[in-house]
Amino acid sequence: MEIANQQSYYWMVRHTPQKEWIEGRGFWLWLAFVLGGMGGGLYLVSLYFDNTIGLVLGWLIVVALKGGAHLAYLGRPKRFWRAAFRWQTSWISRGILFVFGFGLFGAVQAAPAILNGLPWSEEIAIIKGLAVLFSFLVMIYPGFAMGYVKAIPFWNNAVLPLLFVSYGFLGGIGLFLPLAFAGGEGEGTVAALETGLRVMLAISALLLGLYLVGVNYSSGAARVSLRALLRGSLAAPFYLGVVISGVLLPLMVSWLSVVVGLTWPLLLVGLFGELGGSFALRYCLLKAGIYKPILLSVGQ
Amino acid sequence: MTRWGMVINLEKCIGCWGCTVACKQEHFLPPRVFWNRILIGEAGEYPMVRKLMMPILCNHCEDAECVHVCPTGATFKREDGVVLIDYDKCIGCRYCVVSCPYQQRTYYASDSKEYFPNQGLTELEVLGRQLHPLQERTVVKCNFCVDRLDSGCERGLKPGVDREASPACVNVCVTKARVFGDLDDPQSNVSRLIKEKAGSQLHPEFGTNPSVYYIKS
Repeated sequence: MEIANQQSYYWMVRHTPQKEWIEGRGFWLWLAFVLGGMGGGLYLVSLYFDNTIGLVLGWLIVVALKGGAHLAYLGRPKRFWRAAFRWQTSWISRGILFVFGFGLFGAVQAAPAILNGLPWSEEIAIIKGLAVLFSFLVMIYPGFAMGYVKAIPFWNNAVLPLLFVSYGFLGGIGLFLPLAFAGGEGEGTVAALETGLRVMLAISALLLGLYLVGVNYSSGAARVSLRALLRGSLAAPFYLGVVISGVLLPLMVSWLSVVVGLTWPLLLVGLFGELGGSFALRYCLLKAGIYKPILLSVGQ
Repeated sequence: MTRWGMVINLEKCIGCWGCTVACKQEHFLPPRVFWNRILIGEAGEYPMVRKLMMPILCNHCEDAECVHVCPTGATFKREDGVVLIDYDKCIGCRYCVVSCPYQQRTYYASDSKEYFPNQGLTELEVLGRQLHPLQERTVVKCNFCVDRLDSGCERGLKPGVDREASPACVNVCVTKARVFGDLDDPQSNVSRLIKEKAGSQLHPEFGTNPSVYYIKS
């Protein structure tokens, strides 16, 4: 780890925050985790509602933006292909295969809607099934990659992958709503999306609560992370970003849209609130990860 | 089968930083890169305060998290238990850094940092980077002075007994707080010390089975 501004002899004396995956170039990894969820979610929602623009946007977000962010993060991006061969044990290796798979089958699935004269159609079940599978895997694997890290007890929690999936769907629905609204998808589709949004908001809030309760009953280091999140240095991004912007604001917009009807200003407020919540959630999760100190670990 | 390991006697360590400096010297480590550290802290409350010191290095774990999570196989474990990094394969994803419970890995961000800021690399630093080339934007860590181990073994020397075959931090320790040897040999100095002095490992709850043990007395 880079130990700037810290004396070498204080390293790991107390609870020590992880920095590699959030500070400095870690910004790109944070971005990649968020974009992977949103892109995968948008692709799945677009596939369900048979929307070509959504499919293409979802694919681009995952392959171009998420992939680009990962490359920007890597110390040696030209060697990225090497990461595809250790899928037996490494979640990063699995992740890169999932992105490859999504890039391939997502493109094959979406291509007939864009290009004429292709020898296959978008209704072939096996291609559709593989596109769905890989987009789901793209959404869920960052949760596993983080959850696998035993060294950071705050992350080492079974609910984390589910939380990533639910926020992925939330982001996907949020991004698809303006597309549906602008593209004249019809009131039925917009209403269904709004219902889906409310359901996903409730599920995400429930999973977040479950995750935090689980962390509270975990180890001491996990509770230190939780304290930082709820009452410490991360309280502002957590309450303002995750709770207010990511959950309460979209819920309020959703309720208002029932009362006064959905308008562009309302929709955009809800969308930005939700996207802000998605970014804030991953930021808080990555930032709150800490290591147990090692100075007192052998009974000194 | 051999499994190299180390025992560190916390009562004998006087915090002279000899191991840290010897390691830097042996591997020509650039600024901000430490493969050997001494942690310093305090325990208790006034007036019953104790100063604590703990030398730490890569634990060369038997079930190393860094080996499991590495997506390229750049981090690997040899048959003798030494965990190494192939810099040519490392992509700098830092999953190993994040996963190490002991935080003994360093992402080597830049090759251009010199010990005397704004004065360029000294002749010694230039020479060191030729002799022990690290690759910038990859991860680096302690290698148990594997060059010394291998060349010593080839010459029929015994690591932990013969200085030429032992890690630099072990050789330099003025109080003999560090002992190196084969953990799989029940008659080795390290195995006997661990048994007699009830050696303990850092964070055994992670299940990594480190090859570095700590004893007191």
